[in-house]
Amino acid sequence: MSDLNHEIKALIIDSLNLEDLTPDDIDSEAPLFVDGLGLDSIDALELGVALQKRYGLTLSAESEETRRHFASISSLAAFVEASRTK
Amino acid sequence: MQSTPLPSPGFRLLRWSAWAPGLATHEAWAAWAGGNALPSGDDAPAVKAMPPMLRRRAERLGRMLLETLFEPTLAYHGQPLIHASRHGEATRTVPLLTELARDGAVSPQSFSMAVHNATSGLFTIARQSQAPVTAIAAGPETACAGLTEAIGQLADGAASVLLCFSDEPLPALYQPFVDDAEAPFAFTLELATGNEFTLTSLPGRGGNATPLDLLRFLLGNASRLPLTARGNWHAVRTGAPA
Repeated sequence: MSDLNHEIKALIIDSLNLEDLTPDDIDSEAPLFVDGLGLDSIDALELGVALQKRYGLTLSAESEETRRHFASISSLAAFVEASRTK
Repeated sequence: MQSTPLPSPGFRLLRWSAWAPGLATHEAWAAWAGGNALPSGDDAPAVKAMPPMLRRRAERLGRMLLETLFEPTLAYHGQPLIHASRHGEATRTVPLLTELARDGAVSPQSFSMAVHNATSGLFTIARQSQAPVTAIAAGPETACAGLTEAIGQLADGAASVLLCFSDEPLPALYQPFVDDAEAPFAFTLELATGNEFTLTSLPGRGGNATPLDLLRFLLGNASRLPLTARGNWHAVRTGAPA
């Protein structure tokens, strides 16, 4: 799981142009949006597209469930682990 | 019926800032204005004054404009902003359209930054400004269209306006359509009401000025600059105090 955490951190840095960050700078348990890493709604869309491309996931933009998956690196990793098709 | 001739539209240049590869200071630009070379190169400015979480959204064209807007001498305090660019973010839209044709999906982030007012909007977010932003693209008349809009907003009561221009060479796909000298650049002019420069239409047919032609004219001492072929509009240096 920690490998997947690292992989998702790298995907976030790359797809969201977080030019000054390394995976080690991102806390796996910290909030990704607003507080914590400070991502915004455009980042959420971008990250959704990146996750769908990389792992073959299906995401629902409106669901409360998606909101929970996107809470932190750890919750995203658990979601990817459970739902990936590639 | 007698008609009074309208006064010539005019403006004063209060301040300016500019950035292009190899041209980062007022001194370098003043020397450039005395010659006839065009900026060239692939460098992008650092835009250190902008918070990194916003700066990451901008690519080279946007970064050049942002560097000029954050220039301290401009002392931004919420002036209305006019951004004129002939081609805008063409270096983004070509890869986006290619991606759309290939995969059927595009990067939301890049799409959001590909619209014509994206960079000026990003600046107002960074400065938490609610000032109006106007985005203009007017083909080979982009320089004159930007000036016209600025003079219009000054006539409408703005104390001063920031008139920005930026462009860069078009992607390879569009090169067959290029019809003027291409160069990477951005500059911002702070203009106020006045008669240091006026616009006037002369008989006959003139030529179109690019934004860099306009900057060279403003920084130099030529008495006038042909602005548009249509209508033969000229910018005239009147010698009135700035």
